Amino acid sequence: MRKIKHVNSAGLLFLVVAFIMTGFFLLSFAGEKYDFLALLFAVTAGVLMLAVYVILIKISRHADRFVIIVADLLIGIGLLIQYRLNTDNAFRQLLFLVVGIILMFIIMALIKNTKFFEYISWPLMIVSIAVLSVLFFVGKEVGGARNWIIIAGIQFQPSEFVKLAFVVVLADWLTDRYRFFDLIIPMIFVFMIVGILMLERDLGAAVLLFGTSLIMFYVATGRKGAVLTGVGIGAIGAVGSYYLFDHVKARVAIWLNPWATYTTNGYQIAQGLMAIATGGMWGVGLGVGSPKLIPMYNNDYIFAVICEEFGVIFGILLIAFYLVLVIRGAIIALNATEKFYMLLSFGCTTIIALQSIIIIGGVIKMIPLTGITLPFVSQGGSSMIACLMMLGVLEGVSARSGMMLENRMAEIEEEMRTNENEA
Amino acid sequence: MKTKRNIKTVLILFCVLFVSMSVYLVYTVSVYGTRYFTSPYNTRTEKISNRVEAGKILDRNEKTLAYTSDGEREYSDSKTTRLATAHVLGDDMGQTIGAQSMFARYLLGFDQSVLDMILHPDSTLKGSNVELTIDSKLCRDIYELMEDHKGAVVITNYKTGEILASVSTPSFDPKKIKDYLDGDYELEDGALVNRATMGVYTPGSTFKIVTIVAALRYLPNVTEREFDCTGPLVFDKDTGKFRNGLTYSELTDDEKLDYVYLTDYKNETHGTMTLKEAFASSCNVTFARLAMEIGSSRLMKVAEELGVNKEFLFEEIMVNAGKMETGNSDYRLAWAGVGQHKDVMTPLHMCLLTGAVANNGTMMEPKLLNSVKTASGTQKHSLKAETYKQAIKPYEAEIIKEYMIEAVKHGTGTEAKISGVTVGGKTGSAEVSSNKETGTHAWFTGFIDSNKYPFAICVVCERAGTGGSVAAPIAKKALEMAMERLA
Repeated sequence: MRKIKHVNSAGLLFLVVAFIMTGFFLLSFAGEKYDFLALLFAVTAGVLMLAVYVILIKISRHADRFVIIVADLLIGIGLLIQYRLNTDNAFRQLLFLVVGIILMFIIMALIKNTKFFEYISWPLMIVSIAVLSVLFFVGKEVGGARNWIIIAGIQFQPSEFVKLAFVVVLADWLTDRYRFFDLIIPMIFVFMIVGILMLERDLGAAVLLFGTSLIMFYVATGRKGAVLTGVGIGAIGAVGSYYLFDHVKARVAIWLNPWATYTTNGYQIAQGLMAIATGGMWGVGLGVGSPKLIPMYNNDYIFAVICEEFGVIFGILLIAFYLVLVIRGAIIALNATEKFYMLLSFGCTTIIALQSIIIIGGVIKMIPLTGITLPFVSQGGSSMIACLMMLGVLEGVSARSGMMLENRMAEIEEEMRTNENEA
Repeated sequence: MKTKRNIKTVLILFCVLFVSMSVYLVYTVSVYGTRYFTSPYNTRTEKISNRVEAGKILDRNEKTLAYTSDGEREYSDSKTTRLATAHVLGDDMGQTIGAQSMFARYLLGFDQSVLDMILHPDSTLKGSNVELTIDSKLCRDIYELMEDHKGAVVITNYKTGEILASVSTPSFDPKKIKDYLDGDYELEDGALVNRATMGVYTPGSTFKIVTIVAALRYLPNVTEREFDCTGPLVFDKDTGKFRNGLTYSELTDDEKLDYVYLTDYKNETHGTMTLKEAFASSCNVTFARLAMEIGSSRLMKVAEELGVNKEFLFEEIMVNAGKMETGNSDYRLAWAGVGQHKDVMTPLHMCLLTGAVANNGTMMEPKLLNSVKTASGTQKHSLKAETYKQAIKPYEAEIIKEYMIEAVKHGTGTEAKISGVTVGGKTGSAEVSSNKETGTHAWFTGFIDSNKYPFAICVVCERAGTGGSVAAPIAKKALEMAMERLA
């Protein structure tokens, strides 16, 4: 039987690991005493990455190598900068990474071998709305948004997981329903989720999910009119909330001129811009900057910190890495053999793409800032685990389509052989 | 399949967004980077300055103006030099923005490569030395020339854009800024403001340079026309509408209360004259009529081309641009056309504009940085003249230059004449209060028409009297000193 060939890319992974090792090696000299822990950390992370790669290929030959390598690179940069900011957080991040990786493998295996995800749309819909609604009453407010919940002593951010659920639900509803009437339920779902997020002041997540839903509607149905109507509703909603909510108005004002309110609202953006400007093209150097001047330096504002220490050129490379991830994600979607998995994988790709655009664009003051994490890099367990789960979806779909394609090829070969025999 | 096509479409959209993000990042850092970095809010430089020995600041003759010794920032021994160069240098406590903060990148060694930083342990890091384009002796002489006047003097080389001298009075002693912050050292009001670059003054008649550019551009044959100045122009009090038929002298005393007027200095009348004579004698009535004939939008368009209402983003120096509003009535437009109403200009902006007139209409980007040398002596940056923009068309510049020379030869600026060279200029006496007892801002902006001494100057003395009698003599002496020192 002929097999689908895949490019061997282990060399790239070694480069990534070497880069991260070098970074930690430099960091180990940063303090007054030599820091052996940094080396230990680096070795652990490096071994983990190599192991993940090997296991991934073991689960399926058709797993996408580039997606995992680029993700490794982003995660590695994240760990490096987190370690430099706060060693304890970095260790916690490593722990979340392990949890996330396990979940990634589980999701990958589920998608590859079962139709599990095709049946959970209704439960996910109900759970998502329920969790976000509960949050509205018992949620803990952090950074102006009420989006944290504490269960059994563990803090987490349900909206991160709702992202994946949201994509699964939409992919299911959009797979083979074309009539307008069929789309009413997913529309109600979208508006409920986005509405609740708006009320909880989690603007970043609201914008992200609304954008994702529009893109998924467009991809699945091709109804330009409907999507444009959606954009229109979004625009009206944006203008409306500008007049209704003071915090939205404040965001726009500080976007236009953060310096006018430097001592209050504009402080974060202004500090971020100064950090980027201080770094210049080549950066001040790892460990030499003053990242802690910026509020939320280790999650929402991590991009400014990276630019300060590694330089604008590295910042551009980081943007390029995300683009590579997005392009690979889209290729996985394009190669999918079933529409549901096509939509599912492209939905996850869209989340990663929009999320990076929203936060990087906000930090560099290209668009108004809405707080959201930078995928794979920001500190935070929920965000890291949710991103890895989406990675699991991408790899799972890649594995599934590869497998289906091979089976199909085998069938064709079999048919040809029988035909030959008959003849 | 349709879905696949749609996915490709969205993917292209993502690519465009990611690429534009990269472009915007580079744009924002290259255009605004220096501003953000030198912002007084940016305390990152302070952190560095604790462990880096900041480099020296020298003038164009390599005279040391600021240096670091035992971790303390020290300045010139001469008090007058310290006061004369204080605003150009700025202080080291973040109270003012000058060379010390604009060039902190070099002074604190931010320009050093990553390799340098790794090879040199923290403590031995030394910043680069920065050489400025100013001549500190010239600044000192000009500072003494200003005596008790509040105001500013700027001299630039209009061919290269170099700032040769920039003095702002009253000044402060950078050595004592810590005492000032502790409350032990008194400063005169507004002493920390660099009036040369940040001081927004009503420009008065010097603004006629802007109006005449617009007149030359939009009014055909304006140079061949004759103008009548028969006393104040009359406007409706409520609507501000121009009453062309009415003559001030023919109004009865009662009627006079019903109108508002555009007057000349001390209500002079100039009779019939050409545009050249009107410019040289600085006739408000003629220029107000021109402004109304040009119209609000066209006047504004020309002013904006000359930098008014714009944001200057020069690499090496922060300069406030002038501002102008033409308002919604003839009356306001008329006054705006002669540099009153809400018009304001900074001395350096006016100096750049005058320099452009002398330099065939080309405005050069102002330069303050002569060279940067690292502690080990490698040159990292050297002066390069750069065109900011072709602000005025060459033939217009030619005409205005001739008129400005005429203004110094036979007009309001005769006090600025220098024997041996041709000086051109424009005076201004800007009214800043309805109280006639308060003196006007005295302005003189001019240039030497010479290849050997391509100097442009702008002098402003606050509430000191007329431009012709107060500012022009100072300009003359300052230019003579510049010729002597910088030949």
